[in-house]
Amino acid sequence: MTTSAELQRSPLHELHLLAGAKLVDFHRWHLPVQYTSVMDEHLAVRRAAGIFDISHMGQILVSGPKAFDFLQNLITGDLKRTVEKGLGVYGHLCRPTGGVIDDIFVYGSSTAQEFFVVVNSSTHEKDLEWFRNQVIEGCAIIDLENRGGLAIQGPNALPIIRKTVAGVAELPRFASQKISGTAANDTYWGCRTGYTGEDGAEFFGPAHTIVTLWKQLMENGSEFGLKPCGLGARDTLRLEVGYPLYGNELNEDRTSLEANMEWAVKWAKGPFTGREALEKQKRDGVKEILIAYELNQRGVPREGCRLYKEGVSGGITTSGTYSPSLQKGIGLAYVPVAWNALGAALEVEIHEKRVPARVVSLPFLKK
Amino acid sequence: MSNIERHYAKSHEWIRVEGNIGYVGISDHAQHEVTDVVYAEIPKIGKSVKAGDEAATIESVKAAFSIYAPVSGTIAKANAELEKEPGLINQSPYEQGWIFALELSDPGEVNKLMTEAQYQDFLKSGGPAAHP
Repeated sequence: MTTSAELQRSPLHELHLLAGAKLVDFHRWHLPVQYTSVMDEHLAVRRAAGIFDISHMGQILVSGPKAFDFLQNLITGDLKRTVEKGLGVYGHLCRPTGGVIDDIFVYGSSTAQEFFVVVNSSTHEKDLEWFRNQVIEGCAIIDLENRGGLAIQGPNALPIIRKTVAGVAELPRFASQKISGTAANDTYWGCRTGYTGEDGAEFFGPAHTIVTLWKQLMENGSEFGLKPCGLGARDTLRLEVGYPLYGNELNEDRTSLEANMEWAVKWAKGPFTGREALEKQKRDGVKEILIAYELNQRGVPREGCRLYKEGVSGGITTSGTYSPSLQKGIGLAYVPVAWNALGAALEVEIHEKRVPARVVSLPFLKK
Repeated sequence: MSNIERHYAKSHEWIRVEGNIGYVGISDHAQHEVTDVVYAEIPKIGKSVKAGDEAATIESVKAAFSIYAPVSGTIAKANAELEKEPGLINQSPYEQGWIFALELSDPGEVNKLMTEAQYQDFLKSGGPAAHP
């Protein structure tokens, strides 16, 4: 066990302690896992609104006349969407083998001279190294420090944002906006994205700006049922809508195609690192693929639970939980590709018992 | 604090003895650690257990937790209400959220457990942070 003193602290740390949050070590960050209860926080986001500390996410600025070429060559997504439509792009960074280094979001502007990249905390250093090793002339990579991030999500998120920050609530989904704060160097990003399946926004900026914004949103959100939410609810929320978690569904031994995420690979964009490997895999077909399943009986599947079909072992759960919205056990699992048929009967081994389940489509929670 | 005497195991189960029957649940501290219980797997009546044996399992949104028999005996009752409303373990850990009852085979074992005051000290001393 490491002591909390060795862990990195979010700029919102003091506010979490005041709010009585329970903090845990999450990839070397000391962050709230819950404030009151995972269930209450989860349902607040589905029914009203929740606010999350996402200061652990890496924030990297890529700028210069070649910034577009550099990033476009490294991600599976198509950055033209950012330049032409002002929309953020989700994509995978791939090794030449097709293995996924990270899944990231890139925001930018029509100038194509500056892109703001948000990466996972567990892969932050690895991503930076990958970027720096491949950097080209005319492109600068800056790892932003002393930063904070927050997400506000839920059906009531937009009215709260509208009361607090001008413009962001009016942006289309996936769009972003650079906002000037009161002081110099106080610029922050407002992005109409999230990790819960609900509408809302994510804000990334200097530490003190994010602290001020958190306080203002909390104050303006009280009449809208806004609740601070921890990592526990963040995980159950993302799983209900089938969003992958890097390290669970995605890693360097899996490709975007195996992860059943071909939608994140924009074949029409042209070359990118990993493309040849992915093309070959598409021609040859994948051996294993990520599927979603629901239990037919009570039980809660967890990461590592084995799967069986007609008595044959062949798959493993990468994420599982009890879905607070659906009130049943749900999971994501890598299985032999032949098992990938909607409605197919499977069994999930939970506490040495095999529980009947079936393959379902994503998202688990249909709107 | 209720004046009914409870004894506690280091694994955060409590037992309240009435005659030769001991009612077992988890402490308020433990239910906070476990958080929202969504299923309770209660034991079969008639099963005999030794002190420290796993007797029941509860599942929360977060994880699965084993509930150990704090003393030896035979399962005499199980709280069937938990099948319908497992959240009683969170809402009422010492009353409606009891999990099972044991017919004690060695009532003397109860005195080896912690008293309420000893358990509160044990929590303050930072004993095991999480329920097993």
